[in-house]
Amino acid sequence: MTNQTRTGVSRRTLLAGAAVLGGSALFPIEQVKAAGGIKTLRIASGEADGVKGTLDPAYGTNDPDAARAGLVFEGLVKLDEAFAVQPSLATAWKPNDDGSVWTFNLRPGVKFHDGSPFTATDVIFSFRRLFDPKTPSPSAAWLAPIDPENIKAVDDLTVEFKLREPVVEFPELIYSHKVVKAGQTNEQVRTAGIGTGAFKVERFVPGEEPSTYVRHDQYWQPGKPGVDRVELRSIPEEAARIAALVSGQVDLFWDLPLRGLTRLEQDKNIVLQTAKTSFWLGLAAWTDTKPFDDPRVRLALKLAANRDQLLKAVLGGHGSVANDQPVAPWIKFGLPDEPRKQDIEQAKKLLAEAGYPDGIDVELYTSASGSGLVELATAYKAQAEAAGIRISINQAPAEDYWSNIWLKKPFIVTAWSGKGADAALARPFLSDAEWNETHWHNDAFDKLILEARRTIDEKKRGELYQKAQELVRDDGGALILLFADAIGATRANVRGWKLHPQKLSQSYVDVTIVD
Amino acid sequence: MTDLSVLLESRPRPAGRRFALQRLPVSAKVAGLVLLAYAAVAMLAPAIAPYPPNEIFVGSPFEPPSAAFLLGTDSLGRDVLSRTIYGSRTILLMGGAAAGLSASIGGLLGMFIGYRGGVLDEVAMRMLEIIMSIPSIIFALLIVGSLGASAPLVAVTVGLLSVPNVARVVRAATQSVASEDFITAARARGETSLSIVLRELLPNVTGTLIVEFSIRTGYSILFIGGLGFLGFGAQPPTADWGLMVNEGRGTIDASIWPVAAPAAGMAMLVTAVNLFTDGVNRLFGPAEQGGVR
Repeated sequence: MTNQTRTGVSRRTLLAGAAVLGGSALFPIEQVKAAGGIKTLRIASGEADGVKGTLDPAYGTNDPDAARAGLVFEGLVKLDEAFAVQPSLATAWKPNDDGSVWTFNLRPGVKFHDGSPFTATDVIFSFRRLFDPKTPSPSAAWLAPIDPENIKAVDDLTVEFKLREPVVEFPELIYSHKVVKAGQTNEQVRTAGIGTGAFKVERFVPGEEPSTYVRHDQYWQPGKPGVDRVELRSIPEEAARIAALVSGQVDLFWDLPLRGLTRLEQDKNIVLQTAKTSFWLGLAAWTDTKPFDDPRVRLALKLAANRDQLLKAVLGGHGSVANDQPVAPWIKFGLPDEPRKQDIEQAKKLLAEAGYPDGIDVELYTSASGSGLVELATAYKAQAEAAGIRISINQAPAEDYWSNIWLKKPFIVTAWSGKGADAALARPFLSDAEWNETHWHNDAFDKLILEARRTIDEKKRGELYQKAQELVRDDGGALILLFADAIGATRANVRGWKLHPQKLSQSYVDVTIVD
Repeated sequence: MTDLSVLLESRPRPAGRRFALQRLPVSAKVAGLVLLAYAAVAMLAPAIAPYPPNEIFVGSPFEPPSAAFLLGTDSLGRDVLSRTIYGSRTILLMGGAAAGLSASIGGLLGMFIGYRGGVLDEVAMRMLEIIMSIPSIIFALLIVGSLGASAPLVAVTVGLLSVPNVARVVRAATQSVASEDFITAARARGETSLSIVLRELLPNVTGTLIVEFSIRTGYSILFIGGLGFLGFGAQPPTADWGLMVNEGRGTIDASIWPVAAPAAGMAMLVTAVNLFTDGVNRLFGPAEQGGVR
């Protein structure tokens, strides 16, 4: 579908160019360069959304949507590199005693792209429209605690959310929800939305590349943004995206594969950026199925891994070793302990104690559906053999791995995108979680998570989440082996950009281009 | 057309005619030597490979060729040379098994329907043609994809897919012999069909069968390599050339050797098989035999 769209675009561009501009529209990139003095940042996205593309933060579903919304709109809060919330359009916030009422103080002096002031009315409008029964936002489901009728303006710069139930991490829940100017129709927001972001839409036609944005002169951060114009295009083919950067047709992108970077590493016109993420790779075993039902077997599996070696083999060193629990040490509430070292003798001993003195034979499913998944299976198999864990690898087709193998086979290679502590723990490991890929049922763990969700005190909450991490680490059925880095790249003349570990949270406010 | 050419050649071959090596063209002789070398490497793999093929981190990932690693190492630090050497075992075994399977089943089938003729021949041929009309790569992906990939299954699948091709050629060769007097005589002696096929017909189509086996070997090697590349062949960490190319292609920037070595190994093997086939064909087959491929 994408291809058709792109073909259609080029043909249309061709016609327009021939008829109106005498062909110059065929070369938009060169054209902009020629316009002296204007600094344009050209960004490439690794996904494409074609005619389904939108600017509307309420309906965006993929990378380019998020990138567009991130240029034009801002949220009340934003996520920092530790997945903790930081002020954005809100300067401060506080809950009541049980977390059922949240009050946000809004930043004064913020102007929308049309010059009108940002007030509490816009916040209320932006959240209420998510719940419009005629056009509900896909995110309405997990925002269910919000009662759209009970968001009210205390004054022009104070908003109060009275929730249906207490949510102690409410700011974390809404970080990705952006504020649009009150009164706009969905159609307006979709292609020409007015926000407070550092850039305003110049031209965005769904299905046409690129979309363009110009500087918002009244942006609330003085002296920002650092460039005059932004072009955003989709280049899904990895090799083509890299070639576009190398040849200078784009300036920046945020999603590189973890392997095969040699060419870029050696190019002195390119700067690679790495960010630690909590995207993890590992193996998941059903804890209710032999031989994994014995905790000693699970521990033996964990001890058989040589994580440092895996890091080199699977991620080419672009990541960190993990310790069988999903909250990385640099994430808020992450347990700061040393990852397990390989201990073949101990693993053998545990297997023998569990009644497998001759070791175990298990089948491990993997697929090329993600970077490094096959390599992980291959390398782990080689390591575990010494402990008497004999693995036969079954490489399943990549297309339907996550629908036909994941959650359906007892021992698989798995990967989870980076999340904050609660989501990282709850989504795969709560007993009744839809995605409980290890069939792990641990009442103590469930209680800890539910209690943490009711604990307003951050220090206490952190302790509860850390206890939960210990349970997953020592008893759980997941071998959480590696955290992968995110890798982005810019041309060498792009300054001031910091790759955000959450790929949808990139910011270009501080970017400048030097000559 | 095939039938006609075979017909023109329709003289009974003396049973047990010797394979005349010295009459092979030079190219085929060279190709034969290369094939012998491949076979030797495959058989002696454990003795000549410097490292175990699946052992990770015998060196660092992506080491360039050096005295310690003549073809460098791959992404998991495995020795590319050792893996390529072991890969020759996988491919020769699988390719040979597939070709042997198609030649034996296809040969028997072809001789039988060629000898019996009539309605059986008509029905069998139409069915074989239907099978041949299905693109074989899709057929193979369907079977391997639904039954789960494993080396024996892939070999059997590829072998069975070539059965119709072999059967057609052998049938044509059989038909030209089937009307000869010595067959009539055998029938008059009261021999069973099976005995006639095996004792009277087989020696007379041996040349055709050898050529077919040779053609099918080259074809199967390529086909199996292709399936391995698509991830439908041998499972990791098997040292399989198709799989190796697939595993190495994502990191070709870092090192080309993990891809180049198995690819070159396969290219040379298939070329040798084809040149050898050509020579054998000239020795045994009717001139147009090649057109049936």
